[in-house]
Amino acid sequence: MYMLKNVLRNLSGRPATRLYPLEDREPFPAYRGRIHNVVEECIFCSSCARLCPTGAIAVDSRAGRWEYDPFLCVYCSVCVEKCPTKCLKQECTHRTASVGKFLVSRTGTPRVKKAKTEAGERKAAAAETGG
Amino acid sequence: MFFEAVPVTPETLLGEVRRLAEAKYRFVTMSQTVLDEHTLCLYYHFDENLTLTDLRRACDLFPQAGMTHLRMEVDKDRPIPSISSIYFCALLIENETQDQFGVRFEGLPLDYQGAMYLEGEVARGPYFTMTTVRRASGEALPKGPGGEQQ
Amino acid sequence: MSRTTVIPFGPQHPVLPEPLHIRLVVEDENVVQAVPQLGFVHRGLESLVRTKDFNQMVFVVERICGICSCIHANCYCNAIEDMLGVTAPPRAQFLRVIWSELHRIHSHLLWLGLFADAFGFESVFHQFWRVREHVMDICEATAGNRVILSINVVGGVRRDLVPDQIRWMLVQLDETEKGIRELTKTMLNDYTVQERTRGIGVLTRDEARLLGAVGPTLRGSGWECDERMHGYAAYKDLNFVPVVEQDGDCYARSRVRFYEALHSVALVREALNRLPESELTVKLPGNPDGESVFRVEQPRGELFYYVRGNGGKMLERMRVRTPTFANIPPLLHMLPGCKLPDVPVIVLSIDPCVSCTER
Repeated sequence: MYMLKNVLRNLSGRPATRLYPLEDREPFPAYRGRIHNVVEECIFCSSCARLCPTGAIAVDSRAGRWEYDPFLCVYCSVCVEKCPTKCLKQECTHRTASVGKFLVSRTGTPRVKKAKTEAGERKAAAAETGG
Repeated sequence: MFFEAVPVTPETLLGEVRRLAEAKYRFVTMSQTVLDEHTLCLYYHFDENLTLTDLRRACDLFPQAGMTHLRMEVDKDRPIPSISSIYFCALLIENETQDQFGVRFEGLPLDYQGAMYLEGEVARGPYFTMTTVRRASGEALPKGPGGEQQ
Repeated sequence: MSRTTVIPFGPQHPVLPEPLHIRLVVEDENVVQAVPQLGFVHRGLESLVRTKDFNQMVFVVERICGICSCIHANCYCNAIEDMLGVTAPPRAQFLRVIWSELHRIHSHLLWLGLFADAFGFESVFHQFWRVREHVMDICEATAGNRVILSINVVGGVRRDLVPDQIRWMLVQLDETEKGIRELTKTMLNDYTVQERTRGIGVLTRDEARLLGAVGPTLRGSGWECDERMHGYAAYKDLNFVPVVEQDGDCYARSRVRFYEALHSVALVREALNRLPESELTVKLPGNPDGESVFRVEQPRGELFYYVRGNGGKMLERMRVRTPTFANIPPLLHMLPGCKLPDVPVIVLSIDPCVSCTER
């Protein structure tokens, strides 16, 4: 009997649920969603790989490769917060379900410092005095 | 917080626990740490402040007030006296210790024989590696992983 | 002429979403003995401390329990902070309370729904879960995730609340409170509910203490025992009163949880209004060394952490005693003597969370 008011309101009102795939809710701007790397700005410092609690990110600074396993990722966004160049971005939409596993791999130009070491230390020293 | 523990031995443990039980302490839990190959350090944590109403004003002076800790170092090969006869609720944690550290408790009212988390037919713990990892990497290899179960 | 039968209850059971197996020895309809079997979801999370950095462990301890993840991290961070000798800034303390209490509200609402479902009151179940959605929205909009908030770090919190968010949260909290209050009479005064829960699974005052019950199970038996009274985080500054009931039966426990959910709404509101200004994190001096224990109050009861560091990046030992672990012995005491149809109600009345029990 105590529920009567509720029941009547529920009968006359709109449903509390959404027809999900057809009708999507506006995502909250602070939501921790998909992570992607703007690889042009990445300096391959590997700080994201070091901090990641699940080890979902692997960085090869020599080859300039940034690899990320979205299925190991727990979306804690530690990497995004600690990224020194803010090249890691997090969207506010979640990753949709997937049939198979895959790895996100990005290749960019390795850090200039790496090129220096390859070219020899003398050149680097000269560049420093020149700059 | 850092805590101070009263040292006890397997001989004096039951007397001490009985004293706490009579003083209406609540058994919180037990913590185990491996000290070395043969020694296990057990902490018994008790809580007394069931009836104190408000400790908030005094919390800076006595953080986490009202707890009493007993510290006992035991030999892994010797059976450990069980306190389940005094606090029935110690039964689960003592069984868990049996599972994870391969020790034996004496006088458990419900003894899973080191198989509380595992099926009966599994003889050794697949990932109760708190001690076994150490052994595998240490010198006492002949027993094998989980070998100290029996 | 009575016949003894053994009935396996769980790990898969329509009313029990938790993988807990109980062997029930029944004589006709009466349960005479109950033996639990655990270990279906044992994950060995405690031993991960040896392989993960103590800062990374925050995200592991959050995953011990899905429902009260923020409180696990809160307890772990407090224990480590004690070892390091630092205190989180006041604003971080308040934010920790806000998110912990939000977790308590949504956990209690989830439980109230499941409990109603256990005695077959499905419409109340749906109503509670609809109200819960407001709290989940608050969590998602402020912390970024619905359940596993990943808010705490050792030394503070990671996200801040801006005035706009606070205003929006207060509106949502009003909605939540209105929703809960609408269901008061149904949940507490309804004839069916009372028939199914009153006088069932009685745990007397002395039994509750001796069997080591914690949380609402203990408070339902008349003990005024809540870890929040110790004033960790910002509870010392807030107007907190533990909710206590005297009867010790399933009805008393559901009353405790119901009023705690309402009280938590009030606590969040108070904390939001009195949020002090300060930075969010403190700098950590080195690595943890030594031993430390810490207790906080989870929705299910007292959560206990023991951590031991050795001055390195990795901790040496961590032990977690979750509230359900402490509440299983009282459950085993309550079950013998009850009727078989009451078993789900009694098992749910301790709010079992088996995944966090086995870690």
